[in-house]
Amino acid sequence: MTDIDSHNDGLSHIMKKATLKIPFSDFEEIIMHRISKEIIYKNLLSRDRIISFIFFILGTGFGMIINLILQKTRYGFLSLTPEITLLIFQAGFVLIFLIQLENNLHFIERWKNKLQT
Amino acid sequence: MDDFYIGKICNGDHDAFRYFIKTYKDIAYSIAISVVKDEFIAQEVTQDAFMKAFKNIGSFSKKSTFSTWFYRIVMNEALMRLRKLKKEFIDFTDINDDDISDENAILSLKEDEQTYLINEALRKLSSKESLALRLFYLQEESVKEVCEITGWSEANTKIILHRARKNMFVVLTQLMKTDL
Repeated sequence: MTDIDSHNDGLSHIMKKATLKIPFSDFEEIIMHRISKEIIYKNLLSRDRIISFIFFILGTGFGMIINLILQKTRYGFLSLTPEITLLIFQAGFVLIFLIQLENNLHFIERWKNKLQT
Repeated sequence: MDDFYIGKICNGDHDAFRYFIKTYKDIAYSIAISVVKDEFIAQEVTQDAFMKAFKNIGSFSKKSTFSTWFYRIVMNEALMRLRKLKKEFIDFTDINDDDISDENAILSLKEDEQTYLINEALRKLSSKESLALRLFYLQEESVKEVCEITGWSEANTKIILHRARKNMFVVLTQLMKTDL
């Protein structure tokens, strides 16, 4: 089957006529424009993620302060006892904290991978 | 040259990507249109392929040449789009072997008629056959390089090429008869 590997058969002369040029003259500019938008989007995303991380830290600190206040003041919400109020708050706080922690760990992982490449 | 510009892009000179657009846009378009058979869809596919290449250029491992890596991206983008379009292609079996024109009949036509006829014929072939012919003859990739780009086995590539060559002449004959 050496014939099948040859570029110089009858069809090769015909195929040379099949050279195609992209018929859109602004193609290069379209791609470069998309690239600029992509870079702007990436920078905004990085900035938003950093802000999100800062707010995660602040939110965690704020949640812990409220937790301490609720423990010390033994404040009851609506008709609930202080113990139930504290329990509900702590459960909600832990749930939100874990969800946000997972998101932020993904972000840090991706940032580390990006730095390595 | 490719490595030089990859280095520049990784160092933050995004304008250096123009080199790849200028060098590979025609070839990428050619591969895309082989698969999707439509100019406008091929343009979109080519754009998406360039964007994918730009986003992933930092992770280009240099195990293959840039061109092989990039053509693979173009091909995959085109195939994904083709799956969405769910196009079907016709099998050519109704022409007698004796009636099939040879290359001399085609080369005897005028230059622009040849170009039109050949590109029309490629459009009518299946995506695999059209792609195989463009990569093998136009880009002068070896069978091994075609395998690397397409992911086909060597045996499969040779079968597709063999079928493509035969079908190309069949389609050209049909087109020439229609035009006459």
